[in-house]
Amino acid sequence: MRRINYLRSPSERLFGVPLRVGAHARAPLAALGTAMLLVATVWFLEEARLGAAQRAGIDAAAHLRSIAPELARTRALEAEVARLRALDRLVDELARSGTRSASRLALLGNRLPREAWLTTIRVQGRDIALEGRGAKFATVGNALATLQRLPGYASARLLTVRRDALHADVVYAIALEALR
Amino acid sequence: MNAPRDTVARALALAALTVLVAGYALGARGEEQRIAAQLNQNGSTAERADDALRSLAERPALEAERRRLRERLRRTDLGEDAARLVARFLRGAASTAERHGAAVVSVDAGDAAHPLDAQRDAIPLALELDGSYRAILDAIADLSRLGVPASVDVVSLARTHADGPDRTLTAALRVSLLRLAAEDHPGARAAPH
Repeated sequence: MRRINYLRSPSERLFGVPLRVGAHARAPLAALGTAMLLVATVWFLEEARLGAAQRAGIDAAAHLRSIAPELARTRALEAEVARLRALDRLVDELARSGTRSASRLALLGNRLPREAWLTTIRVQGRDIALEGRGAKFATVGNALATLQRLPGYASARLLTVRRDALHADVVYAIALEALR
Repeated sequence: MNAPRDTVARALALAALTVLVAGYALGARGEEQRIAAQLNQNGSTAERADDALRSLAERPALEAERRRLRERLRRTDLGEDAARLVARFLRGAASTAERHGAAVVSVDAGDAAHPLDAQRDAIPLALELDGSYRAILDAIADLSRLGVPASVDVVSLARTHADGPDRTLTAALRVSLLRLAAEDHPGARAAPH
């Protein structure tokens, strides 16, 4: 027996069009509706997150702009202090150059045995050429051994040593090669 | 009779699936990328703001350091006038040598100043000192502390009279006086207040 329904369907009430949805289509239709709702909800949430992030970005940029003039002055101060520090280091370095040169010579003189004295020191870059006199050949050998242990130098090389009959001693020349 | 019904159901199910996939692909993923880009930009802005705040916090210390450095550098003659620098160095060198028992015997200012960089140049002087070993070493140590920025290097040290009994030594020194351009002076380019 055929069923007769005199009540108006929801679609008729809302749109004036009778849409008949059979039982077989209800589940897929509900799935479609749920999918649309889900997509709309996700879109809404994402938009809200994006809006919040954009507002935070605008606030941060405004804060940065507000401190920009003060920051520019501080950057100029930093640059000036860096320049003064470099200049101070340079002046300090120059002020120590005399002491360094004197110490270099003093170290040579102090390390030599008493019987081997220097007559000439020539500085050639970082290397040094020495000339001196000693009581005997053995003294020059001792001087050479001492100079070979001098800090900052790679080697001490004997250039010449000869007896000086006039002064009854020996004359020597030694080259000190600095560490490279 | 069931075939059309199945077709409608399948079409609806396919539409639901399509809405989900398209919603994710076109909407959600694009939004996520935009959010990620915005958060990235926010992070970079925040980092710059933190850096700026740190710099601002250090400003009092920087101002104190600037005062201290200016005060220290004021004790050194960083003048731009080469003649004045040389004159001041020579006066100081002569009195220092004398104080230690040595003597300046010659000064050769033959070479012209040569630039070290855009703001600085070096004025070379060849200086000779006579005196005892001790006097010369003491004088050399003090020559670079005369209040004129100068580097002092020894070129040679030899007995003045090679064969005589006199033990006087002559030291040949290479001196470079530092001269600054006006804009590199400690007082120049002061930070705006």
